[in-house]
Amino acid sequence: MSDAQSTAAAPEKREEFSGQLGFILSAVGSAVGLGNIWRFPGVAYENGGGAFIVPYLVALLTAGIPILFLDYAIGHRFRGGAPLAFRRVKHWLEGLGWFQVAICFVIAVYYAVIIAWALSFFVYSFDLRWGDDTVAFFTGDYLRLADVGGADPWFTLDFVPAVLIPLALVWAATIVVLAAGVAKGLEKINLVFMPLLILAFGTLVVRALFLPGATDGLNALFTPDWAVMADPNVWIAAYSQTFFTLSVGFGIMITYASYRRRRANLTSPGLVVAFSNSAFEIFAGIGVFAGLGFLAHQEGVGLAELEGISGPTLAFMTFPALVSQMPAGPLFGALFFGSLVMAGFMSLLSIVQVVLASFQEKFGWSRRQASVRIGLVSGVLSVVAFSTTTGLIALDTVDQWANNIGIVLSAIAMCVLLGWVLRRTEEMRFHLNAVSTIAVGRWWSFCVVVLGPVVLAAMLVNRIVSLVQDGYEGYAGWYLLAVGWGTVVVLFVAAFVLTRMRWRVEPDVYDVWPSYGGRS
Amino acid sequence: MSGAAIILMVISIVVLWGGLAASIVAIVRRPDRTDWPEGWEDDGGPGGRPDKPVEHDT
Repeated sequence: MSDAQSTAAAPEKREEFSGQLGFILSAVGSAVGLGNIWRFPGVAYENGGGAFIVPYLVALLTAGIPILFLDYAIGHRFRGGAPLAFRRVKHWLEGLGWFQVAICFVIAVYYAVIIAWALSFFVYSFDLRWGDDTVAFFTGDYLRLADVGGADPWFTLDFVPAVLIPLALVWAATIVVLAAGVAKGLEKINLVFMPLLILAFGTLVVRALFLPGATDGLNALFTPDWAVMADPNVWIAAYSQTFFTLSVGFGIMITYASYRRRRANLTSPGLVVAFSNSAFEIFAGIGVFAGLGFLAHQEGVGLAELEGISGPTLAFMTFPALVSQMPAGPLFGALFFGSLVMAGFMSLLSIVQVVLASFQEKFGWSRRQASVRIGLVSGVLSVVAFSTTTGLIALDTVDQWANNIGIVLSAIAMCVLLGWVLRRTEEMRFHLNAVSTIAVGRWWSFCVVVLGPVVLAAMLVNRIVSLVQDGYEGYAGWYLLAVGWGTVVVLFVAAFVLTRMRWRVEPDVYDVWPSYGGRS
Repeated sequence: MSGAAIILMVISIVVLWGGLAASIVAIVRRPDRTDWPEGWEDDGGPGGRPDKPVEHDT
């Protein structure tokens, strides 16, 4: 047991998930996001097709699941959001927790915007408002993009009402749900949205399978190219995919695990979460490529000639074109964009929850205060930065740096500091095995101490070299420096400042259970 | 679809959906431990005490 000399108040009773099912569905809801639908299929297609399953599985078992378990162990053993949990591991580690909170804050601010786009397109589905030229509709009619291909403008305050209004709705809904609490808000939404998502997306996938040309799409996705197995970039792509898709390394799973009872199984639910996420990904891959095969068939071209097979381009340009040509297009458009909204919203809730928990714990804010204050600040920033005619370019840039530099850096730091500097991974393994029904062996320690950080470091170096040498999307160098690298600087500054602030709630009075090596 | 594509599709589905099925079976058969370490009991445990923070004079 630790204690500290302080005048801070004792913390209130910690919130909890109502049980195993609530936790699993919420964790799956967090992991299954937009990336499952629009990132995985494209990554698999471009990295060996059917052969991609080999590096994907290896990456899942040696990095994705082990780091997921590490997150669970930290949050569950030390009973706090990222800053509190890391502080309880070692005082000076609190900064890493705030770095993760800052990442979540930045991601939440732009992620909400994509949900707002999906919400708009859900409405547009009913009359197929995008017409025949879906590219012009998305960038012109809808986003009203300023011309950023040339010199300017790179930043405007010309707000786009069609983005701003749904964005305000997304933040209002986020505040309402999170203010209701972990069990009554967050968990309840996941209990409703997860089955609905499976039903809606499942209907879409089954329908897509029976469209003409669907088998061509599946053929393109699954035809193996074994030669790529020797390409390190394919392995890096597989590790990146499994790492990002499981929402590990930036505080979400630490926070969620901290809301479980002390006597709660960790590894078995973790496997259900990880495989649910992967099962959904492969399901989404089948649906998306069956649809793309149909589109190629309708347009009389080969699938390889289609543009925009991943990312927002797939969702907001290619899919509307596909929907327009499908029988009962409005229905399937609504199912697709409705699925994006639900998947995105569940993930957004988990991201914002990381920020909420940390501010509640450090500053003694009530859940309602934290929800309203953080929701309003995030909402205003979302609107100012991303609902304008330059919102897309800003979003694209911040996303690239926050994910590929911020999250990867955070995960490397977590593994290295816990495993190499503090040597606490055996304690985490002990904790997992003490409360779980499936034990993890020494292989787990090897994965989180050696293999994970090495592969993540390779991903990081690879990306930094690429960003420095080639820039990004042809955007101006000064813009990438200010908005891209600037985002990383903001993460560090926020982590430093928030760590330096005084705890209003006593952080160090708690029971570590079960005791390990005399440490309790 | 080519034979290789069909085989890889089936393998992918069997491995990932099979992994999901196996992990669900595992948790249904044994949802929680029965031999918890000593020193803590949750609300729901027999004779348990709530998971509340320890209060100290600081």
